[in-house]
Amino acid sequence: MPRYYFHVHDGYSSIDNEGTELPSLNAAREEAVQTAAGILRDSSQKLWAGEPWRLEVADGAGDVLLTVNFSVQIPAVVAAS
Amino acid sequence: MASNNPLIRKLQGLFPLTPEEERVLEHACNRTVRFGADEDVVVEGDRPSDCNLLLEGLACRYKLLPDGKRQIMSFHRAGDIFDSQSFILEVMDHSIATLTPCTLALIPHKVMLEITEAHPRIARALWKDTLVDAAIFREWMTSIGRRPAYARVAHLVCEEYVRSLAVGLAKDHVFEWPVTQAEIGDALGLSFVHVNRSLKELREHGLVTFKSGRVIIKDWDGLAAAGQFDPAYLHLRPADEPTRASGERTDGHSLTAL
Repeated sequence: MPRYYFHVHDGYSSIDNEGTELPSLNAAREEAVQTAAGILRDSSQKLWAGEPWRLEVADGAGDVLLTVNFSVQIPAVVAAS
Repeated sequence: MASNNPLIRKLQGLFPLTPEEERVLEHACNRTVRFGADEDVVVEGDRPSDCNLLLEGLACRYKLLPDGKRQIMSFHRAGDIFDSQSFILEVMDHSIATLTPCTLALIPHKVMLEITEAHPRIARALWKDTLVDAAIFREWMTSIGRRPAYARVAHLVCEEYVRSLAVGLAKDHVFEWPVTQAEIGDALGLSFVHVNRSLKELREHGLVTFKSGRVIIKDWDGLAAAGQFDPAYLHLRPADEPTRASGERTDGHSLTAL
């Protein structure tokens, strides 16, 4: 089974050096969304602190195969009030 | 002396038994069977005629969803009768599988009936065991529903440690817990990668290390705080209370060791 590396960039980035064996790229896609959802669930305050959130799945060669992005915005007019 | 029978050891931690009651239980556990790792012991829909007492190894209760996803609902170690409900409820509403090679004692429902009718205090001890089981499910529901992943994992490690300690399977903040990260994920409703990340964080914070199936708790207070863990729901009897109805004290499962 190929090994996939799940790197999370959320302000204090977590680089995955161990990787995870999964049967296919499809399984890696599923795992990426499930993992992103789980981490985001616990990270509300960090998100509003302003850091854009990114999860990258890379292969053994270090090439990024897919990215999950998440960001929050407050319109300037609301932020100013 | 603490009994060699893990069921008796476990019940002693919950409810004081007389030497006579211990002999009755001991006698009921004389038929054993062995399973390999990752084998089903009973499957949802079965109508078992025996209760299974785990004497050695690790097992879990689980349900499979139509899409193949699995929810593990509890982990079990020596001393657990993980399907005592089959004695009363008849049809299994979930499945039970071994995680490591296991030795089980088969206690026929007929024997359970005889014992509980002849020895109401044993019935009460088993009743308490079942109620504690339910308390553990409530705690898991709280974890899975509301605790962040990091706390969920820390809480589970604390619980496994205290439950192992109660049957003499842990010592000095070290215990054997050969579960995979996938199994932890299936138990806590977390993705494999999220479990991996949470374990790494716990390790980096100096709270606990995991090495080939062995858990070493480096900072019990820190781990308990991270997991929001309070052992009250396990309803273990205080260490200074006599372990036997006769007043004799036994060692091996005191909460003071925390």
